[in-house]
Amino acid sequence: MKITEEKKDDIVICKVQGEVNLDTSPDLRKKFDSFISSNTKKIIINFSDVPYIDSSGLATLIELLQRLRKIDGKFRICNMSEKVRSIFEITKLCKLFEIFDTQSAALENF
Amino acid sequence: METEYKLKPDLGDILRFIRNFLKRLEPLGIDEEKLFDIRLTLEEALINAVKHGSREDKTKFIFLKIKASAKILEIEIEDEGQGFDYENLPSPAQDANLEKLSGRGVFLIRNLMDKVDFFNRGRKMRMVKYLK
Repeated sequence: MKITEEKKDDIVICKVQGEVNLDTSPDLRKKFDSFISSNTKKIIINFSDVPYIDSSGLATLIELLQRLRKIDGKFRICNMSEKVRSIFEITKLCKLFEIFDTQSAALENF
Repeated sequence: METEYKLKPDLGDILRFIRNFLKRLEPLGIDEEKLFDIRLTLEEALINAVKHGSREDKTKFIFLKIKASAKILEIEIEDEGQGFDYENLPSPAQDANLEKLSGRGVFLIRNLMDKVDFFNRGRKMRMVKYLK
């Protein structure tokens, strides 16, 4: 998994490349540790290059949501493939996360 | 194709096994969306068997039977654990459970496969995916 980040004002856009699963979730968690310790409160996760997610990846995102909430932070997810999005729909996690079709839509009014 | 495997409850080995197994399915020409479902369900089921069934006890084994044709994939997974109450699992999709960090594996399997049955108090699971 490769994670690159870009800053736009007070928002960090985090582009994830690769699968989000049992193997790679620790990398994602580590990246978010650094965001949280630097008090970053607005994060957009771009999933355009994420072809696969499993229940462990979903749990990592829930954990992040809970941790960000504690510092009054929030995050949005954008550019999911249809298949990955279907996993969020089946599990009803689309109700929990803010999911946007595009990065520019996710940036709007954040 | 009909194959039986006896696997050690080691997560790294299991994930490598699944990657290799999926390559063996390539000649069947399964579409990408179905392959995603097969991979996810196999991983969820086998990870559950390692973590909750065998509890990573290296003296135990996980038994896997796979029957695949162009039309249908049948997978049977059995572990040597205590089993579980598969009829009364809380739904992770209920509002009150949405933020729970676990409990989505069997739910995903039931939603992504066409038929799922449990036997032997949950120690054995049989799942079917129609390919055509």
